[in-house]
Amino acid sequence: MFVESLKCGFNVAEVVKTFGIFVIDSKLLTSSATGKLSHDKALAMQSTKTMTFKKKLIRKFCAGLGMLSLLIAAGCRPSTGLEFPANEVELLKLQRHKYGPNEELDSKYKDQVAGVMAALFGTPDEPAFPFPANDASPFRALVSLGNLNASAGPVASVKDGKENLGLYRKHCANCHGLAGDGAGPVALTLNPYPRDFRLGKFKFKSTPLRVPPTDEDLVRVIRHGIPGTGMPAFPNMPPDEMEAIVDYVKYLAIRGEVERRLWDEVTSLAGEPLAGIPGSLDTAQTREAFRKVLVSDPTSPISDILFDDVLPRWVERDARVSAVPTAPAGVEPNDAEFNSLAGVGKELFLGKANCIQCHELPGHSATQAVNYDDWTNDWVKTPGIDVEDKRTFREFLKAGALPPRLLRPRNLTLPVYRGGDESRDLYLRIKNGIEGTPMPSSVSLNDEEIWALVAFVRSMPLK
Amino acid sequence: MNQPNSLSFCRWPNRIARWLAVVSYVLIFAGGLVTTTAAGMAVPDWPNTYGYNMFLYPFYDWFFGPWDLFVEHGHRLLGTLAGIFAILLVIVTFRKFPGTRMPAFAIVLLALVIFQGTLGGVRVLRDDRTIANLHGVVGPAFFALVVAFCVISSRWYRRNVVEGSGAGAEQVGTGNLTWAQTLLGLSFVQLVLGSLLRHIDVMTSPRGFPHLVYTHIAVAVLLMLATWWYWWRTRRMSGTGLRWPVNLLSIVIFVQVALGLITWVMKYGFPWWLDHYLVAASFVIPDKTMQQTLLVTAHMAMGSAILCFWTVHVVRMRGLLKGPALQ
Amino acid sequence: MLVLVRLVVVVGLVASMPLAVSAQDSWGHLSGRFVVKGELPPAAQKKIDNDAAYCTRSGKPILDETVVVDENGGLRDVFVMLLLERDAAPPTIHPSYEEKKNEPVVLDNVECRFEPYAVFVRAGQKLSLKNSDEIGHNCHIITFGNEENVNLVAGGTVEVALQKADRVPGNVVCDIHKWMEGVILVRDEPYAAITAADGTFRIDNLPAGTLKFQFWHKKVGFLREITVGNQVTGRRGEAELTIVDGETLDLGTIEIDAKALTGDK
Repeated sequence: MFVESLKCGFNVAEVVKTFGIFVIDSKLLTSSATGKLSHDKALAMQSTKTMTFKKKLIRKFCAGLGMLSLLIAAGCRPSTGLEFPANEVELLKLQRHKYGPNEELDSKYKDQVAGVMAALFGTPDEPAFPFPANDASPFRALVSLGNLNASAGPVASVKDGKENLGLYRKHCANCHGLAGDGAGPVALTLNPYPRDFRLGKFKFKSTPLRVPPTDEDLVRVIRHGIPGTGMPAFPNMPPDEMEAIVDYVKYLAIRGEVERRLWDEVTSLAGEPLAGIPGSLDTAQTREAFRKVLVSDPTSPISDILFDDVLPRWVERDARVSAVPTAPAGVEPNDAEFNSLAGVGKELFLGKANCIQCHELPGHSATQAVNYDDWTNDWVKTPGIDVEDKRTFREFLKAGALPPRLLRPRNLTLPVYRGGDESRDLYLRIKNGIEGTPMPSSVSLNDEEIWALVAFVRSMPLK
Repeated sequence: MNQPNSLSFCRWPNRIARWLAVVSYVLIFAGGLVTTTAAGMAVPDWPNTYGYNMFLYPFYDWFFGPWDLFVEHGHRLLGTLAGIFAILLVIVTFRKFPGTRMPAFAIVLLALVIFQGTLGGVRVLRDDRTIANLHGVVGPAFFALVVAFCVISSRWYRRNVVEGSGAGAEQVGTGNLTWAQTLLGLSFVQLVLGSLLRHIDVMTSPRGFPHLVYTHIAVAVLLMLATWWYWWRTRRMSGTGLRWPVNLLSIVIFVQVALGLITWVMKYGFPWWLDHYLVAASFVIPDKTMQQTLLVTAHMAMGSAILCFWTVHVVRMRGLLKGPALQ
Repeated sequence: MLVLVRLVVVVGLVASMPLAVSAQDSWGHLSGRFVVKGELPPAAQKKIDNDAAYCTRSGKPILDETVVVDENGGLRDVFVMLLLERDAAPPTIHPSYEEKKNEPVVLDNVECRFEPYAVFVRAGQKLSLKNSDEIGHNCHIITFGNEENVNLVAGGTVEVALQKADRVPGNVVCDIHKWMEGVILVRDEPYAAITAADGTFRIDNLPAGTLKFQFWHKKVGFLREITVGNQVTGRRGEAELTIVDGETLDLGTIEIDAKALTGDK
């Protein structure tokens, strides 16, 4: 590819040649394969220039600039070598959960898991996906490698800027992090924190708990953003780029889930679940070979984790979209029955449906319960942690966990609904609950009751 | 010193320097657009553009091409324009200000343009955030130096500093120069902080960023108060040609702080504790839209403008107090 | 080709299962009692920050139930679980468990605590989430492979089924009442037990032979280096036990040092 042909050594020489900057570092020149300037020639250039410039000051200044340019260029390296960071918080949690406060896992397991993960999913620059060997498998259609390649890697363009690469790093990674861990450089300044995809949990979707969101759900969030949060809307993103990013989000979520499962396996079993897996982890080539072994060996734990656990849930999500029944008259504010239905909803809100336990209603004083979201609860529920005492979880913060922050129940007196503001969106939020949050699913309420609640929720900002 | 008299004063170096300043400022704005829209890597090679010599790249493909390419390639073309002006400046200064240190200054400017261009190139080739940072800081520094050149080569400077031999110095008052220089320096520090905020590497730990944000905010508040205080302190400085930059700064600094807040909201949304207000709760960050791009870039460009006004003020005051520079 | 192999293995496994059940006709039992040796600090009182009027109306304080010991030192809520290594075949299951699987396991909310604190349910078995309180709760179950979060209206009951076997127990919480905590284990096979208030446990009708068991307690995870019968548990709290046909393997009193349970660093 064009981009790849532009390797660093060549360009350093080009920079030097173009501007005739003083070349002093001969090591650099010998190391750059196409560098045409020899050491002697560079020195000669330097001396002639010295003759031209009379002022000592200028000469020193320019030489300084030249040196600086060279220093910058000298560290030149191709941009490979970037690996996904391991899920250290998960590992620490499992150790504390299973071995108590003092024991650490042998580092050989870390290497094993890292090797398997790199073989299955590649690196942030060169993504791979553990497609099963069978071409007809439904797992094959989950993501496209072309889309992953467009999203992965550093930001770049090809075909005269018409095709953009590195989309994830361009649009997402500053918040969501390179590995989709929700701990990108700016994560701490946002509230709520950016989503950590690795738990495979998503809030606003048309599917029930434990069933991943559909592509349309993800597109909707990216296209329209989430009001009142750090999640921007991308109204101008071309559809093909959107598709590539959605695939990459799925990839990061699947990757994260598989990694967690592997850790669970390794920390639970007395035997060596990954020891028997053959393959070397040295280069991209053997990683590919290793991946083929891993996905095609039905006895390996990898095969179980991938094809019996994580991937099937992603494949079946379209079939498991929750049906939204037709709304009865009265749900929309313009309906004649709106006020009476909202009145029924209010009764439920204050009573049976438990809403008032968390959501404020002006004029009704009740203690509102606040709690943490699942991304925090996932590790603060570890024995030995007191979430109000930072000293008890320093090691988790050090491992990369973001400091616990209480999740505020939505203020329903404002007409702002993060998961979409149509009646059917509100129906889904109440019916299925909101994954990753304390908001529960309302299986004990029937559809009429849910629609009444929707009407009441819609009526609250109108008061 | 070989001092030419008023009749031999040539305005050409000043004119070219002014043009260079204008081009530099547009260049800074364009560079800001490149970063705001993350278009820096829209052209993978350098100094060529998609294999073409930069100047031979088809106009149609550039002008009517994708936005990222338009911005990045445009930034490069503007960069060469700045280079041409810098070369012209060296030639004219050598001819019109012989025997002074002005030609040396012009050469320094040219060297900086070249350095800055190289930085831009290396930034693209290596895709390195540290260099992007340096590139983003050297730009405004260069611009401030060009402004300084403009001031020194100006008619005002000749009349009031070179020939006026310190007339008006008594109006400046003691201590003001130190304050003005401190504030100029602090404005530059603030610009460096802003650059660090803009060019974050994806592998950076999230721990550092909030500190950077708080420092940037603290310095902003400090600068705003100090600028107003300085404006009050120098209220009797009228009629010396020093006053207008301070007047302007006292307004611009406020605009800049407001733009800073807007920039934050446009990139990261309102702070959560405002979400009982509908405006904040319903706000959706409009990523890579024209409004986001222009507002965020305006904040960055305004930083360079502040640097420019302080430079005019400081260079003029230094001239009045300490005699002409670079003669 | 490899797919074929995979298919053959799966089909083979499925086909061999009923065969194995009928072939197995020797069954034994396992029992024992966990006892804490040494002094434990008294259980901490939970902070009641919501619905305090209802939750504490009986006047009893709500205590932390992570470690509960009776007056004789019997340790409640130790999980005794069959350990299936990667290469191990699934165990044959005694026919008596078929019927038991159809009975739902009940997890009740009583006076703002979960009753029982620890539950074991088989994958696919009905779990009846009950709310005996006059206030609403939610029951949020998060294990490694399962999740449920249901709104429990006052006096209501919701039936769910957790589908995925877990390696270790997961958490049950009520988000409305943050102090409410419980543990839940989901397994395909029925061979797991939780110690009762007196520290005793019993697993009936295990297939005779040598089996690996793991011992786990919420506070410290796997119970490692404790003496079980005539051996010491390993690094994953595991021990190999031999079940003899028609006999009960009584592990007797299994002692756990109180220091190991305080769990503080």
